[in-house]
Amino acid sequence: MVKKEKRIILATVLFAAVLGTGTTVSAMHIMEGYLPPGYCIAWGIISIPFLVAGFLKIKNLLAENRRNITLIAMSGAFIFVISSLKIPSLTGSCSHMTGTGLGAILFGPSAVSILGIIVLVFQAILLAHGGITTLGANTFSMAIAGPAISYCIYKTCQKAKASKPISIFLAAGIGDLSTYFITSIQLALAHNTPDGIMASFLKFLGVFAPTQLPLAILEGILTVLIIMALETYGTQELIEIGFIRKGASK
Amino acid sequence: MHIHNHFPIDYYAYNSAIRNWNTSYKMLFAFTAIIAVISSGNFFIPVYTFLFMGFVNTHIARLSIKEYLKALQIPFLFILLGSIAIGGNIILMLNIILKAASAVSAMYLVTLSTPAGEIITSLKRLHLPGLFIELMYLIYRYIFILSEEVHKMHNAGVARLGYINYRTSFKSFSMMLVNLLIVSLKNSRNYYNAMEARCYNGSIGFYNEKKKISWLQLLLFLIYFLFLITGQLASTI
Amino acid sequence: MAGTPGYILEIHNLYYSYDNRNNVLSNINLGIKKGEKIALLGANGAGKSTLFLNMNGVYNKGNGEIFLSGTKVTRKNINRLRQSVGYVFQEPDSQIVGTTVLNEVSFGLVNLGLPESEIQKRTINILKEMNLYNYKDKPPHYLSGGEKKRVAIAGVIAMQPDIILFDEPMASLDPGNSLMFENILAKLEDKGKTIIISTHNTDFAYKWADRIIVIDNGSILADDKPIEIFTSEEILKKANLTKPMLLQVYEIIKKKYGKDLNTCGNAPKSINEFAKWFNHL
Repeated sequence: MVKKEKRIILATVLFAAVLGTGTTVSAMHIMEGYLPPGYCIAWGIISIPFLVAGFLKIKNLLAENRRNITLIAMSGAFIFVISSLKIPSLTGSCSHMTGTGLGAILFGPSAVSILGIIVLVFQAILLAHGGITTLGANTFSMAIAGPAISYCIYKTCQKAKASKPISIFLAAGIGDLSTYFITSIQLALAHNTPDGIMASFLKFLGVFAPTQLPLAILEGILTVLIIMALETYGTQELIEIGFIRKGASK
Repeated sequence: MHIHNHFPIDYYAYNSAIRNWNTSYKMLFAFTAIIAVISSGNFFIPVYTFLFMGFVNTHIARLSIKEYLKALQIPFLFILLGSIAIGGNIILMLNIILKAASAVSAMYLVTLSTPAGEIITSLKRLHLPGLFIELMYLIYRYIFILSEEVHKMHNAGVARLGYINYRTSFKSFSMMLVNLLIVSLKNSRNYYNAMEARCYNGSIGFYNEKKKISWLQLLLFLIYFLFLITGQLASTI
Repeated sequence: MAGTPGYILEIHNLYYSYDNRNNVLSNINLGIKKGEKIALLGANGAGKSTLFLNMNGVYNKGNGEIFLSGTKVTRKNINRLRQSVGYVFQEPDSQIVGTTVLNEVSFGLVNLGLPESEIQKRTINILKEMNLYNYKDKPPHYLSGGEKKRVAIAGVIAMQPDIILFDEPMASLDPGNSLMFENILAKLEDKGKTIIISTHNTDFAYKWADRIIVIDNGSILADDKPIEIFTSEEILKKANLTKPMLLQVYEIIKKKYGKDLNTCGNAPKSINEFAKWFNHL
């Protein structure tokens, strides 16, 4: 059975690699219709407190200065746009950044939860990535847990006096990986086989690995390039903008 | 006229034959259908919904079959990989594939026929916090401004041989994103000024023409559920 | 100090700074009468846009006083200033918030808190007037540059301002759209609107304006009739302005044929006037 499974997985991987050259790989969105109602509701409820916290954070930023609203909205649109762009790649397959780590490092994890859920809604509407009933689950993995883990890693690395590029790379890369782990857990919980949740979890990890592992590395590298360039070329802008500096320094 | 077709789904939505149908009606229809699909325990509801929505999307909303199939391909890889991971029982696998495809087809009833701006306006009725709706309006608008900008920057990059090999293209790509972020954040100050210049006082509101629900629309809704219930009863007996 | 009768908009001793250190605007004094056609000239960064934002009330933390039809503008009635002084931004994209042409044009009206029937009436009327009615359900991102500009102007005119500020309106318009813009201007003039246009195009300013304000380094360098401004070498040099082509041609001809040409009337402002003048020689 195990051997057979391995073979299936291998076949899938090859199939995916071939397919991947033509189709768009939706990062790690759980598709519409993929979760039973109970799970949709549960993940939605779990996400609510984090979203409320993010909402209050944004409200505070606006109370400080109402003008920040267009700045915050622009940041959200930016996350969407980078997630919709094809990363230049070697194989010709299309992958997309998630923007999770970048958003968390620049804007802070709590504001990102609100921007993230809005981005997810637009990804569902405009790109058909994810869906409405799976919005709660996707929000939890991509807009809450992923950014939070990214942010923690970034802060820890900084405390450990790791170099900036390495901190950013680890934060963005591991942020992506954790999103992929959490999504696999979510899928395994909803669709476990008699072998148990753990076995299902490993299977989900396995089939998504070919798309997600390279993505994590690419995303890590790109995030490093972007943030380092921002600091070199955009110093004046970053100071002017204020919001970003606040988000990054807190 | 310049049509930069960055997001085909958005473009389909604006040109849909049922764009003028009441948005809340479409959303309610699609949502209840999705709930029916994901709660179902058999093959009937997913298959029926998939066919029904396919008919509506291609014959009433007038999306060409080619475009519709293309749209259905988007979630294909995920559905395939996911169902293989579930593995084991072939019937279970098939059921999950069908459910997902069917739910997606129902979601397309809304997204392939309703511009996002109208969806946001409908969400406003659900009494979501005003700030949330406002951010959605702005983000939607900015997404297209930024995409347009990316388009220009990318062309400029290509013109300067920025994408000639893998290394340079990676670098050009990240530099482009950096420029995009810096320029757009700077501009966003001006966007606020422009709103305030037109008496913006902290809440974005628009006047939109009302879209009435016609008898035909109601009939379609009734037909869908009538057959759904009959079919469901028949399959359980 | 109270407002002077006869002025629709008056600015007294206006200073404005972004950072409380360097003044972007200093000691601005202006009186604007109803129906005037004013061109605002000045280099990039001279403070034209900042002045516009002050005139329209978006920036209101500067020192100085603004009077609207004789009434002093304060925090409380700032929205009256924003409504009475419409501001068409340089880039239509920075101005458009709506998701369709129709709801974009309604944005300002909704902000004014008008009843829905009034909003509907005004929006539809403006769309028809600006030849935009057929575009009403189109989203801004599927419009061309010229169409976007028209939508942006419509959104401002719908609020029925008395004064309309245009920030470099022709900077990104092709010749066809520039003509369209000049037609819109003519219509607005017929309605008795006061129009202020900031521009780098001295040919246009010379032809169109009946008053020119030159701003340099945040203060008003000159404020006079176009002919006075464009014949002053000192002003042109200081503000780095090019003399209008037509005026240059006129001066060359005048120089060659002597002073007696003065009897043939004033310097021509448009190509038609020039033809008339030239044929009279």
